[in-house]
This record gives sequence, structure tokens and C-alpha cells, in this order.
Amino acid sequence: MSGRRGIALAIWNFLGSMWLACVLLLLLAVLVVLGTLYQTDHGLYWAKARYFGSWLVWIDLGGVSLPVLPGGVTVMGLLAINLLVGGILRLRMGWRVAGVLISHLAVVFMLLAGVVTQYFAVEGQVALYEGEQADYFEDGEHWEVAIWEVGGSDGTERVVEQELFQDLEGSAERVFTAPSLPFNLVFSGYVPNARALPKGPNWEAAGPVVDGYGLLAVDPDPEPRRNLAGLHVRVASAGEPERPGLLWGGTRLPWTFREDGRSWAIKLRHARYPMPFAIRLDDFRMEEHPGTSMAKAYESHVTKIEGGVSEKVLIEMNEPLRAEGLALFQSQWGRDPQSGELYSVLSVWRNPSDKWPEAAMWVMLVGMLVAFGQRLSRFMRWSALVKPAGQDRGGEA
Amino acid sequence: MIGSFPFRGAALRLALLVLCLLAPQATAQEAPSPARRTAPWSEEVLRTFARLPVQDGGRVKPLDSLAGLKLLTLNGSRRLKLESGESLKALPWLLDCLFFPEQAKGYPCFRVESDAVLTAVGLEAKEKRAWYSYEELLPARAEIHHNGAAYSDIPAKDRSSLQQQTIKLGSDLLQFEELIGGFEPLRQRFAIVGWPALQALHDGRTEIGLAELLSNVEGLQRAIGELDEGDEAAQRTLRELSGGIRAAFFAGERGLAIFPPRDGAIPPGEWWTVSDLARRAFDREPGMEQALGWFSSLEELEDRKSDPGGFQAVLTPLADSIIARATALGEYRHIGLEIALNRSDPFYGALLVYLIAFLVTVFGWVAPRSKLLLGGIWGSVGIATAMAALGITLRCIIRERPPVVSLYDTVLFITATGALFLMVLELFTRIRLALSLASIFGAVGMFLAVRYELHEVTSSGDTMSSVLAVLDSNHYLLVHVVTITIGYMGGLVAALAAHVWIFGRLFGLRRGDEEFYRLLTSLVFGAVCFSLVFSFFGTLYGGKWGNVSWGRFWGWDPKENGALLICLWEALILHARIGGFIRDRGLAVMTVLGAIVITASWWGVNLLSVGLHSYGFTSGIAPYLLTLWGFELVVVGVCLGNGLYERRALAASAEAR
Repeated sequence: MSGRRGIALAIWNFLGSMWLACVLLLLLAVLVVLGTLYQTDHGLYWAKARYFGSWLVWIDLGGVSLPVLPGGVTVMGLLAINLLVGGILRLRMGWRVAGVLISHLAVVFMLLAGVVTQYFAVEGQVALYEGEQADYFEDGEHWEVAIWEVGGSDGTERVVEQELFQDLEGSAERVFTAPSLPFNLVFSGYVPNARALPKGPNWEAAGPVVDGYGLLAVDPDPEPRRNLAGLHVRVASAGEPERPGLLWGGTRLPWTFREDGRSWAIKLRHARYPMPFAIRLDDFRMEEHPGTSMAKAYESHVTKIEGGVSEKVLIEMNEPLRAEGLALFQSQWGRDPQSGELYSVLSVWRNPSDKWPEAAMWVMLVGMLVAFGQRLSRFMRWSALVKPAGQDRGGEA
Repeated sequence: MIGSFPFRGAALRLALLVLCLLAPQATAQEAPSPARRTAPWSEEVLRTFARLPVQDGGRVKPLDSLAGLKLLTLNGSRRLKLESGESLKALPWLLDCLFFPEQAKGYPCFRVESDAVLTAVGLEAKEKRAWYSYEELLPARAEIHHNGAAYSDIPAKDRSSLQQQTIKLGSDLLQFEELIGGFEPLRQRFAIVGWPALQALHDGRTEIGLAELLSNVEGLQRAIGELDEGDEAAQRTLRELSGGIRAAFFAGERGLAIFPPRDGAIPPGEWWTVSDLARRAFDREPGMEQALGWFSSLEELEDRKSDPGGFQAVLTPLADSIIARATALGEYRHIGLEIALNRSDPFYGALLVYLIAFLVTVFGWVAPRSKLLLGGIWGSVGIATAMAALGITLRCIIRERPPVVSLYDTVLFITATGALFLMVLELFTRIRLALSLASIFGAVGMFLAVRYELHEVTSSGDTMSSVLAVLDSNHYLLVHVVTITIGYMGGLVAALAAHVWIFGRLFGLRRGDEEFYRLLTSLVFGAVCFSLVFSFFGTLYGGKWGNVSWGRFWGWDPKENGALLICLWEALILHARIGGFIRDRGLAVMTVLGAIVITASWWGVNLLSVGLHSYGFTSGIAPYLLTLWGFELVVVGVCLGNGLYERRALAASAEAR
């Protein structure tokens, strides 16, 4: 055996070893414990980022970041390899290992579903008052800047995604141009979580003050959906002085200005994804258990509109609407503080691997039943050999 | 003020509004009635009240259940010990609260766990833990509520025991006040002497009760409309009447919801208190005739409470009428069954029989060949498990839910299925070990269930509470929750058997009988494998549920992580055992550590108070959990130390040879 081949074989054996399987299971258990405790103070988003969705877990020691553990991605990736090599490829095929093989295949498939969800799934929400409809959903964790002409004939929106301005903290700035726009936009001073307030003497604004208002930077919330981003913008056009504006995610109204005799609107809002159909909320019902404030049921009676065809659908707890790769779930509800009108919030998921874990679950159940059924049968045969059936060994001390 | 105004009828409301603002707060007089009960409640009265339905916590239950739950919450037991040495059951206590509130105020029904709670509000404590009456606590009522409100702002997981107990005491006082105030409107008498028009409506009487007033709201409305502004005496009577009614309504505002609603009432399905009913009558809602009859009968009951014969004569038709209405609404289906469950108390019975089984087991160890004792163990464990199963089944039927909905249910279910599982294992192994363990498992489990019942009732007011919208799926409750709970059970049974292995080795049980230990190891390993199958499937089925309710299969929520941790740990045990990295001792150690993992998942993550499984959050059990974990770590240390000792002893013996 050549040296290279020997090394390859050693690596192959190591990757498929039971020892590695045990270490990885232990490491994953440790990550689960740490990640669970971490989210009590830092929230789920950061726990996922630090422990479950990371390659390495870092700690800060006196200003120096050091990796102390492999992260969830590393451990689960290695576990998938270990299962493939040791739990499937290196197994001596036969009926005795059929259950083990099936179970391991199911776990690998489940991990694969996790990868697909991690990198390809999109999650968002759509909030509707009764009578309102939408053909898009919003991603609560990401922002975008939309620009459109007020009363424009084509209704086209130009969108700048968060990835293109999220690094513009402090004095950094970036110019955005578009052939269809008669002006350039200069973005700067991005604040991940801010409050737009009238500038007072007791606080420093992040970036310039515009029309008496400034952005007060606040600590990012452990739950990113609760962050309200802020951004400074300047409208620049030939022969005109630059006009500064302030964009803030906490307001429903856009910033408007006139340029070239036309009115324009610009708004910092949650990133939007189009849906292949529109949803109209016809009726929202919230029922409480009698005499209590405990929710008994939430129901959104909606109409799904697609290509001129309308279809009545009921979305309630544990009964989502699944259509065209999207799944819409009854998520929350709220009441307008002024009008008292109820609105319904539907969670929207687009996940290519939506049903994969469920399939893996059934496969795994079959595998485990076969594997442990065989083991039980062997135990019973052994047990029968050890003592005659029905004999009470109580007195054999 | 308008919000608490008793009249909602348009004309009446307008006419009384201005007057009401000027009205004294409470000018009605309590009817002259005895403040103390002179004879015990008759069995017939108690039986009749026991079957009376009442809506509480979102469900309709018998008054018998409500009495037990309320007294358990306040007193820590369903039986109240009086200072005279007598004891009072829950239902008579509740009836005293309703009909003889002055007497009930003197009952020491408030359990205060720590004297520091009372010292902090300036009261003199009796002992470290003691029972107090409402009268004794009354001087510090405001202080207790003030402190409780301040402590409520602190997140539950950060509160000290003193703060938690102060909040509870404040809540207990409120609950008690709701009970004693519930029938207050029935006791009020209103002087109408200065208002001849109103007197004429009521046969010239000078004083009337609320029922009489409600019987002719139209006449009252007319009398108000015709009231002469210059008639000072009548105006004063009206003001006093209005203020008195308001005060009476306020007192009975949060009383018991004992009246089933009429057809078409809003909000639908919500039962009425005495105040609700009276308010609706003043609003002249249609279809109130039957309800007004109930009100009138109840007022008569109040009048006749010291006349046992007359009391029963009014009570029986009133109860029959209310029950008939509840039956017509389909809300009386399981009341009889629930009373039977209360009366039989199968879980307490199961605890006693499991303890007997344990005693017989101990005798069985002394006389291992006795067939009689063996039969006795089988019989007692079987009976106890059947009693527990019966109780669980009755709860399923009453709630129309699968067996496991709350944390309390998990304790009952794990205990019953664990004992059953061990009985099945005994059939395979027949070394009396699994059967012995079944009696221990059952006794410990039922003891915990009885203890945890108090915690569950204190925190949620019931052990059969209504479920949140997200949990409203019998399919998922049945498959996911039951499966994962069986997974917990398997792991705990394995851990119990592992303890026997460890202590058996330590104390020389069946020394030299390696076959016994091999069988014991097989039992531990088999239970771990059993637990792994159910834990894995239960966890993944929970993911499937999460996918239809929250939109994602897996979200790294603490409860999900707890379940995953069990799967990972048991998979680790399995692979370490198959890979030869651990032998019998290692298996025992890892299985005992598995008990820590299981209890962390079962109880521990609920203490973190984060995540989507908020319906399972709990508090106050951390010290017990930490004690258990500490004990298990000591067991592991002892096992490893003993292993080292045995190895050295073996080496020394080999060397000597």
C-alpha cells in the first residue's frame, strides 16, 4: 500500500469511525446546551448565529477573539460525512444492518434539508387589515430603499437592497444612479437600530441633523425584527445643491421631494418579496375562551387571487395555506391603536425543503423500528437461552 | 364612572347619569341576616351544590371542583383545618364564603410559606410557615397589593421567593374577596321610602331587594321619567338607590359565573355572575325571564340560609333549572364524571397502593421464594397502575383531549406508563427486579404528581385548563406530546435501573451473580433504545407540528433543543456502547446522566421563560431540579469511584495470586 493511499485510507477510516460519531454527538449536545442558555439573554437570532449556524464558536478574551469550539455547521457537516462514510458506505450490507442503514440515510437527508433551509429558504410576513390585499410579503430582518415617482404613469419602483448600504456606517457614503432617475442618490450613515427624534441638547445624533430631526442610535435588539434601521440620503442633481433627507424604518410615510418638475418618494422599508398570487383579508376572527383572556382560536378568512381567479381560503392555527411553493401561516394579530380595527399577520415561508424533514422522519421511524426490532428479537432469543421461559428466578440470589 | 354604571338602558341611563355622579358610593343596607352559620350544611344541600355547574377558567366545571381548586390554591390542601381543631371540606368552605362571608373571613385559609412575607408588610407572623385568616391579613392588605404590584414588574425568572410569595398572597386575597363578594348583590336592601311612585310599584313597601327591582325595570324607568325635579326626597332616594346598586354590582363583579347565558347573548358562550345577570336585566335584554327567576331564587336562598328546610326547598328547583339550561347548551356532559373523579381521587389512591406494593416488595426481598408475596406485588402494582390509568382516562373524557396536555399530565402519564412498562419488562426478565422498580417508580411518580398538582393549581387555577389556540389540535397532542412523554418515561426507567446497577455493585447486591447484572444491563440498554425511538419520533413529529403552526420544522427553540438533547445523548449512549467505548459501568453512568438530560428537557427549559413554547413555562421548581441533578452527579461520582476501587482490588488480588 503506498503512503498516500495509506493516508487516504486512514482519513477514510477516521471519517467513518464510531469514535468520531461519538465525539460529534457530544459536541452537538454541548452546542445545543450552550446555544439554549445563550438565547435567554441574547435572543434566538444571535444564538443561532453564534452556535448553530456558525463554522466556529468564538469567545472574546481580553479583546482577542479565539475559536473554542467547532460551530453547528461544522459539527453537523462532519456528522453528515461520518454518517455517509461510517454509517452507510462502510457498513457490511445485509439484513442485519438494514434498519441502521435506513435510519442513517434519514438523518443525512434531514441534515441536507437543514442546509437547504439555511441557505435557500425565505421567511417573511404580510400584515393585512380586513379588506386589504397584498401580492408580496416582507422580510422582517432585512431592509431596502424604494424610490418611485409619485403619481407616475408606470408605477415602477427602483429598489436598493440592504447589502448595498449596510456597510455605510459613520461617514462612509455611496452614490446610486439609475438611467431612469433624473438624480443621483448618496447614501451614508446607516444605523441598524435607530429612533428618529427632534434633535435635543442631551443626545448626539448619528450623522447630520435634517430639518431638526436626527437619528439616535440604540443598541441592536436581540430579536432583529424589532430593530428599526435609519439611513441618511442626499439627492444630487446637476446644477442643484444637494438636498439631505433622513430615512427611518419606523415611519409608514416616505420622504418626498420634487425634481425635474416631478414628485418623488423614497422610503426605507422591510425587504419585499413578490408572491405569485395576491391575498385579500376578508374577515379576521379572534376568539377567547369564555370569561378569560386566553386565545382559543385565530382565523383569517382570505381570498387567494391569481390570474383573475378568486378562491376563498381559511387560514387558522395549525391550518396554513400552501400554494405555489409558499406557505402562509396564522402568526399574530393586532389592533390599530387609533381605530381599534383588527389586523392579521400571516407568516410566509418559501422553503424548497419544506416537506423533506417530514419524509425523513417517517423513513427514520421505519429504520429505527427495524433496527431495534431485530435487537429485541436477538435479546429475547438470548434471554430464552439464559433461562427457560416463564421461570421465576426470584430465589436465585 | 360611566363604565361602572349599572344601568345601560338608553332612557334610564340618561336619566340617572347626572344623578349618579352625585350619588353616595354606597347607601344600600345589607339585609339583616345572620353572619354565622349555626348548623352544618346538610348532605343534601352539599350534594345539590356539588353538581351545580359553574364557568371558570374558560370551561364549565362542577362547583365541587371549583371549591376544591380554590381552597387548594389558598390553603395548600382541599381540607381546611380550623383553629378549633375541626376540619372543613372544600365545598362547605365555599358555601360559607358565599353565604356567610363574615364567618369565612375568620377561617385561617391563607397559607403563607414564609414569615418574611408578613414581616415585610408589618404583620406579626405566627411561625415560619402558618395559616392566616382574611381578618388577620386585612390590616396589611394595601401593603401586600402595593408590594405585589411592584414585584410583578420583575421578570418571573428573576424574582426572589419572597417576591413570588407576596405576589401570590395578593392574588389569593383578591380571589377570596371575589368569592365572598360574589353574592353581595343578593344581600342588599334599598330604602325607597321617599319615593312614593316607586313604592307604589312594590306594594307600598319601604325597602326592596335587587330581585324585586329587576322584576319591574320598565316601571322604574317610567318612575324616573316622571320624577319631579323639585321632589327633593324622591331625588335623594334615587341617588341613594343608584349608588347602592353600583356598589352592589361592583362587589359581585368578579363572583362566580353560575348562570348559563340565554340564546343569542353576547359575548357568546360566556356565563354570567350575579352582577352580570342583574346588569343585563337593567339593560332590558330580551329573553331574560328564566335568568330573572334564577336571580330571584338565589336571593331567596340568601334569605333562607338559616332555615335548612326552606333553603333546600328553594335550592333544588333552582339547581335543576340551571342544570337543565346547561344541559341544553351541551355544557353539562361531563359534570357527573368530574364529580366522580373528585370523589374517587384515583391518583391519591394509586399513591397509597403503590406504597403498599413497595412494602410488599420489601417483604418479597426477605422471602424471595414466596409465591404469595409475588402475587401480592403483581396485584398491588397492577391495581395502582389501573387506578392511575382510570384517572387519566376520566380526565381525557372530561376534557375531550388526549392524556397529556399540561406538565401535571406528564407526571401522571409518565408514572402510569412507566409502571406498566416495567411490568412488561418483568414478563421478559422474571427476576422481580422490574416489578420492584415499578412499585418504586409508581410511588415516587404519584407523590410528585400529588405535590405538583398544588403548583399547577396555584399557577393556572386548574389542572384541566383550557388550551391555547396553538395547542388546539388533538391529533398533534396525541401523537407528538404522548410520544415524546413516553420517550421521557423510557429514559427515566432506564436511569432507575441504572441506579440499581450502581448501588447493587456498591453494596454487594447479588455479589457474584454476573448473570443478574448482565440482565440488568440489558434492561438499562433496552430501555434507552426504547426511549430513543420514542424521543426521536416525538421530537420530529413536534417539528412537523411546528411546520404547520409556526412555518418551520426546526427553530432551535429551548423546548425543541431539550428534546434534541435527549435524542443526541441517547444516540451517544447507543454508539458508545456499540462501539465498545463504554461497558456496563459506563452505560450505567451515562444513563444516570441521561436522567439529568431528560429532566432538563422536561422541566429545566421551562424555567428559562424564552421561546415559543410559552404555554409550558413554569417557575419555583429550580431548587428541586438542582437538588436532583446534584444527587445524580454524586451517584455518578460514587459509581466511578467504586469502579476504580474494584479495579484496584482486582489488580491487588491478581497480584497476590
